[in-house]
Amino acid sequence: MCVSTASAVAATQAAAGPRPLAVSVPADPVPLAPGKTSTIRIRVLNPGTRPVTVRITGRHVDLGDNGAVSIGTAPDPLWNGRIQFPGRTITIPAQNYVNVDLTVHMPEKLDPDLYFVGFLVSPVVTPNGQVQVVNEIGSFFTIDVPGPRVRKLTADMNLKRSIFAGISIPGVVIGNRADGVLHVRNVGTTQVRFWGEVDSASAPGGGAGQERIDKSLIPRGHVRTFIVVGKPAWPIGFVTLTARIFYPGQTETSTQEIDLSKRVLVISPWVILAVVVLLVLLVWLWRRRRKRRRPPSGKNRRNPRPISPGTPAERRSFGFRRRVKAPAEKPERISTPVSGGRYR
Amino acid sequence: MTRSIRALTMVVAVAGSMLAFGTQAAQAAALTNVSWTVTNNQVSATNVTYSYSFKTATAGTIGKITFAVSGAGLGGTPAIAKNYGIGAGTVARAGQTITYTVTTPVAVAAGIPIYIEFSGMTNSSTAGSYTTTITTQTAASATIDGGTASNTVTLAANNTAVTVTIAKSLTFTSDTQSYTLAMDPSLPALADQTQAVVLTVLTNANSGYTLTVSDNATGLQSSSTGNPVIADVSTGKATSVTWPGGDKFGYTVAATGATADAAFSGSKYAGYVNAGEQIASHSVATGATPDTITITNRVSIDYAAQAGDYSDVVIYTVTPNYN
Repeated sequence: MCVSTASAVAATQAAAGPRPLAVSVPADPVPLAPGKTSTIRIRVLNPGTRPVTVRITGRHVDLGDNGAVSIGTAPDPLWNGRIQFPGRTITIPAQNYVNVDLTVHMPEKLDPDLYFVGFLVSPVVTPNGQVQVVNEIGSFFTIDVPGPRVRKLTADMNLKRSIFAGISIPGVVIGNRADGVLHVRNVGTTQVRFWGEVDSASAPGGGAGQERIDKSLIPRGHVRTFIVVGKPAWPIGFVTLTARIFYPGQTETSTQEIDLSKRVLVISPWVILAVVVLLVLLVWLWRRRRKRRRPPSGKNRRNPRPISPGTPAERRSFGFRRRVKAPAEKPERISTPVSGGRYR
Repeated sequence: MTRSIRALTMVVAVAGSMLAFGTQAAQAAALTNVSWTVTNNQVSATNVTYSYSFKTATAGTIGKITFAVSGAGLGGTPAIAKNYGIGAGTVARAGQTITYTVTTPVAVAAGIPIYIEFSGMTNSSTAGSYTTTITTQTAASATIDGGTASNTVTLAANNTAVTVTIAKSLTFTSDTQSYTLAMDPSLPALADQTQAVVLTVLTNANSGYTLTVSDNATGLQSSSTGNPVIADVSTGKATSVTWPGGDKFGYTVAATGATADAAFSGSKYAGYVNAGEQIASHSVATGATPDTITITNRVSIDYAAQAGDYSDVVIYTVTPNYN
């Protein structure tokens, strides 16, 4: 039994030691004019305790919604032959790094815009074991071809509605805050870097908040989504959320702005609960009071109220008032008046 | 008659107080929390970014904001790098004054924080201490608040300008480079085995990263006659299943920090696909604590599986997202 267990444990063999790999690229777009040649530095790092051999290859890069990036399986035709990636493998010693200077030959004609150069850093694995595990890093850097350009963004903001018993009341939110989603879309022909803010105001109670949106990129045809939140100062109040999106105009000496504003009444569930409790209490008090004024049912049956003059229709319409305004019928009061109470 | 006199008195009092308040509002107040920073304080430095922040003191419709820098020698063509709390506009420099003109002036309440960043500035060539006087104005150049002087910025030739540039970086670690499962259909413990591959990711990319996985074969393949395979448990994550047993190869994902794809919830397994599939992501930077993504590979066999060595190459690719 002991031997069997030992064999089962030994059945799995994994190559020991982790293989870390890191890649760094310039944080901001590198300005580069058409026809120019420049060097852009990327860095491949080995934080591990053993040397790592890597291969760097150019790849097409696809930018998606909300910053998502996917690396293609083939080089980008735009940069094919214009950026020379190292043809040989590079060995990085343990706890060390290698700076790789990539020479970029810009095309003679290229519209002012942001361009993305993708690449893949892949460790060279030596077959050892039946299943090889490769941890590779896809990355990219951005080139900014300077010049005026036409940028165009659109935006929309939708606040979540509260649905209660299948009914949604527009402009009313049951909860402690107003939640919504802000979408910013690039509908133009160039990539856009934008920034903005979401301001929230509450009435009553004042109080203004300013949530800033840091500079973000939206590739053409894509969207960025942000969660917006506004809280009322009191358990019940109007919350106004104003989203302001800014982006450069044709040149960066001017900016464009998109303003969106939504106003909702936010009601805390506790307020609704309190109102319901109050209503129930009022109804209970009213019924209690009414009950105390009403005669016992047996006595009432023994002393039926005399039928007042008038047609049945008149009695139906004015019966209640008639009781108040007919002091002549005072003897018909059969309940004991409550001290301090009013007789109706 | 008495009531008429009282009403008249009230009207006069209200009008008087309104006039008094109006006179008060017309007086320009000082902006608060005024701050000025520069990205390079060397004299004559070019392409410097000037950042201003302040809070409005008086409600008003701001049409212009002027930033009058003391001294002489201010240069450059400013561009608007960022603006918060104030509408879109244009910027121009005339001498020592940078003017931000709001395209469509709207009312700005008191106490609103405003932040404006101008890039492309050139510092004065004269060393010394400088301040900027900030004034908010209506479109007709009537002062709303200010001018309020900022803190002092010292431009010098003999100082050391410190610029720290942090690259956009990502570290990806796999704790396993390869593994072998010695399997035997005669014993359940040897006929159904798992191998965890723990991946860790660290990145400062503001929008996080995505992790995809692919392999280079159709399941585990043997080089024996007929190239027998241990088939993938499913055709991809879209058809992930609870482990069915039999001759199968697949994986499931669990993540800490990152978000594993919903296809793997409930310990469902999927087969690797050659084209690659996204299996986990994180929408913000990881910070200093690495995300851990555990890929549990599972192989089960029975006597239907042909004896021999089966192999595959599994590729995990991490890509930092853009900001």
